[in-house]
Parts: sequence; C-alpha cells; structure tokens
Amino acid sequence: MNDNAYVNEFNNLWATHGINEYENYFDKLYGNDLERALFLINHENLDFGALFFLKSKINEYNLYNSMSERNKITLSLINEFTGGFRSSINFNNMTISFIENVHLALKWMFNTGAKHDGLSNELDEVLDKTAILLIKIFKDKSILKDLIDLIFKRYEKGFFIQDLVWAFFESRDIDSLILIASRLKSDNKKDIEFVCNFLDLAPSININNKAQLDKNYMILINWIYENHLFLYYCSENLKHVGSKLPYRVALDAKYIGKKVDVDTGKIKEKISNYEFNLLSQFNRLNVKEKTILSNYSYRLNRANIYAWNNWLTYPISEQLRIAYLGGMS
Amino acid sequence: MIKVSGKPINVDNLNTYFSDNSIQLKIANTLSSSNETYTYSSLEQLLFELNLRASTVNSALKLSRSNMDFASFRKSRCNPDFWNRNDDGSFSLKDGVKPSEAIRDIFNQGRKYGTECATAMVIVFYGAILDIYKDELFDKTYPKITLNGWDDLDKNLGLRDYEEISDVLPGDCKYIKNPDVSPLTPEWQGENVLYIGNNLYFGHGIGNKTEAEMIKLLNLRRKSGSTESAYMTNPNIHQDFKYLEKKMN
Repeated sequence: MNDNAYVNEFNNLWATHGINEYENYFDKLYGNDLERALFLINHENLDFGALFFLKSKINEYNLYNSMSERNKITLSLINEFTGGFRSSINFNNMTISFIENVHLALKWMFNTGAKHDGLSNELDEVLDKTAILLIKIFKDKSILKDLIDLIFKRYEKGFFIQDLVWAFFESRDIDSLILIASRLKSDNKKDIEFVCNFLDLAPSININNKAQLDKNYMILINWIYENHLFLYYCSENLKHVGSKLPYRVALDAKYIGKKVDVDTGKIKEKISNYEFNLLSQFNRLNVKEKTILSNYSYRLNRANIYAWNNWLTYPISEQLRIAYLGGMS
Repeated sequence: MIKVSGKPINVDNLNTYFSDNSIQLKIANTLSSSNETYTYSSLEQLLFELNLRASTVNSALKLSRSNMDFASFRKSRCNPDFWNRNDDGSFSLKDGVKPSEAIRDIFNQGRKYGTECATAMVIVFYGAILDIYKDELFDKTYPKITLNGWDDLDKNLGLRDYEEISDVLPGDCKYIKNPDVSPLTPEWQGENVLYIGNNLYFGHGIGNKTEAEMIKLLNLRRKSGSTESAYMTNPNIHQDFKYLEKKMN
C-alpha cells in the first residue's frame, strides 16, 4: 500500500472502528514503529479528525515536540477551545509566518474535519469554533460555501446549528445569501424548510408547491439584488422574535442611491448639501412612507436616471404622491 | 396616558384593585404619565395587562432563585421526567405529560436544567401565563411546548417586538448586544434581559442587575484589545396582552 492510501485508511479508522480501537491501533504502532507513527500523524494528508482523537495519546507519550508546526498549533487551539486554557503557544516569538500558519491550521481543521461532522459532539464543538475564528478573526470567506453546506446537513439531522449560523452571518457577506436562497429550488424538503425559517419567509409558503417556491425564490433573489448596496448588519435580530435575518435596509441611503457600510449602515460616500437637504425631509417621514419612497426611488433610478433626478426636485409630498401613483403601496 | 373605552382614566381609581406598593400600580402610573397613549377597550383589558406584567416579573424572580444553570445549547440539560432533550439542545414536552406540570417543574427543580438566556426568557413568559391562566386553560392553550430560544415559539404566546414604543415597563424583554464578544464564547454575544422594575433587569446567567452592571459583566467576555462596549438595543419584546386576554374569555 502506498503512503497516501495508508494515510487515507488511517484517517477513517476512528470513524469506522470507533475511538477505542483507533487508540489501541496507535498504541501498537507506537510500540512497534515510532518513526512510522510520527510519519502518519505529521503527514500533510492527515485529516483533522484523525489528529483530534489522538490528542490524549500524544499527551500520554509526550509527542508534542515531535509534531509538525501545523499539529502543534492545532493541539494548542484544541486545548483553548475545549478547556478554556490559555494557549501554550509562545506568543513572544510570534512572526507573520506564524500567524499565517495559525490561519492555515484553522483552514485544515475545518476543511478536513467537516466531513466527519455529527460523529462526535466534542469534535463538532471544535469545528464550530474553528469556523468562527476563521470568519471573525481572519475574515476568511473562502469557507462560506462549505459552511453553508454544513449548516444544511446539520439542520437535516436536527443537530445544533446556532454557532455556525452566527459565524455565517458574522461574515457580513450579503452575496452568500444567494447561496442560501438557491436552496429553495432543492429537492430536499428539509433544505426548503430551513430556508423558509432561516430567511423568515412568509409562513403561508407551502413547501410542497413548486410554483410557489419558484416564485418566492425569484422574489428573494430580486430583493437581495435590489437591496444589496443598502443592507447593513444588525445581529440583535438573530436573538429576537419575528426576525431571523440580521440585515436591515438603510432606507435613507436607498432613497438617494448611495452605498452603505455593511457594519454601520452609514452612507459611505460624501453627500452634497442638496442630498443632505433631501435626507432631512426624508427622515421626518414615518417608516411606511420611507419604504415607499426609497423603493420607488431605486426603481425610477434604474429605469430612467433623468426622470429620477427630476422627481427628486419635487417637494417630498409630491414625490410621495407620484410614488403611490406609480403603484407603490 | 391611559384611555379605556376612549376616555382617559385616573390611575387613583385603580387603588381598589391593587395595594399602594404593588407593581401593578407602579406600572399604571408609568403608563399614565407616558407621552404614548395606551388604549384599552375595557377596564378588564387594562387590569389583565397589569396583572400579567406583574406575573412576568414574579416569574423572572422565581426563575432567578430556581438554580437553573446557564448552558449553551450544546451543553443544555433538562429533567427527563418531563422533557426530551433534542439533538440541537432544545427541549420538547414529553408525551403524556401536562404542560403546566412541565413548566412548573423548571421553577421547582431548576438545578436539573441548564439552558441559555433566550430560552430562559421564554420559560419566564410561560411561567407568567401559567400563573394567570391556571392549569386547565394553560394545558388547553399550549398542548405541545418546545423550548428552543426564540425559535419554535407557540404563536399563542403572543410574543412580539414593540420596537416602536420607547417606554420600558416591567415585563418587557430587552437585548444587550455584545458586538466584540470573544469568538470562543459566542453564547455571550448578547444577553436577553427582562425589566423587573427599580432600574433592574433579570438576565439568566447573570442575575438581577442594573443595565450598567449587565454591560460591565458582558464586557468581561469580549475579545482581547476590544474597545467597543456592550450596549442595550432598541427592540422590546412582550406579550400581546389584548390577544391573551381574549383567550381567557
């Protein structure tokens, strides 16, 4: 058997034979051929799960100093995640390449660990924290697609998803909402059910009605497309009744067609005195009127920018009257 | 201002229903002196709200004394005599168990339970309604209960966000957000808190504290080098009292 095949077999041992047998196998290997044992654990194709369930053996046999850089970092991270202990990493010698290695270790943990999700509560908890660190500390959005897949798989099995959902939303990546929305077209009813709950769609949606689902998919995609420049993140929605989507539309920005900062909802660009005056009047309106005006403004801007500029010169009451006539309600 | 059947009422007239130091009268005085106008179609409707708000506060105080642990969903636990613990950490009422007894068990045997702050708030609201509805109506109204934070809520709980109202009254649930929470303790990304009066809030896992004290404690759970403090947010959740009062009649 060549080395890669041997490592692949070793990777799956704990999942197929159980952790006790896996540890016994390692005991024998350690006793007969230490070099081979270290070669396996330090191999670049080792999966995170295979290392995770050997952590007590690595500790027992004092093998930490024989570990690769990746494994040392990973073992320190696991200690911190599971025991709350301060990392044993010597941060006095921290260099740029070390920080990069931490990032790489976390990516390895997530990418190779996710395939065994659901087999161990302890491993799943570490995976959750790995995803959170990758997104919140390293701003790494490359894992978002796999993170979404993991969320849907866990939801289907009825497992814990809150921390992964939080990690996903903390990425503040509005475009990836489309990946979630696209699951409305899935053949898997649990996927559809999740999207309806996750994105807080109308409770009257019948998940067995394909035409209704297709229609809602288009509504959702159009809503994301229309508002993606004006959405900002407000995580308290996640913890509240009646609203799961932690984004709000900055209506003032949508009204004058300016992008907002996704973190604060504040308009990114400098605004002119003219725009400032427009917003002063706009902000005196109630929420319903603001919504009507901002929606009409966006659509008119897209259809005919000259007409839009002209419409903005009217008194705000006249703008509203035209918006209502234009079918806004 | 309080209006009953379209007419403003004098809070002094409520003295026949409540004692001077009662929480109900304090709430009524706040409603009366507010810039908002609180309207009720009948006196019974107003009394119902005052009583349910008082029950909600009492329910929070009872839960606070129950020794129920704070636990993330991943490590939640419940009394298997009354509840099934699901794989996602939520609790579902066991078949054949009375909902009223199951909810009551959480308050009486809190040490057998561990959950997070949103679920604790939902338990508080159920406990409050149980106190008002009594067992028979409670069991009929809520035959199947799942405790899963703000998810899987029974619509008959009547919980809604009244963000547009600025008054904070005893029985209102607020949220303190901790934007710079340590990534390793996401369970402290915020705390759902219930206003219990006298500038105090109940938060499961923290206890009964002022807003400033709650914020100070959440700030201890931030990532290293953080400069952004936790803060109270606008949303304001409570029961739809008029809806719940109708169910009694």
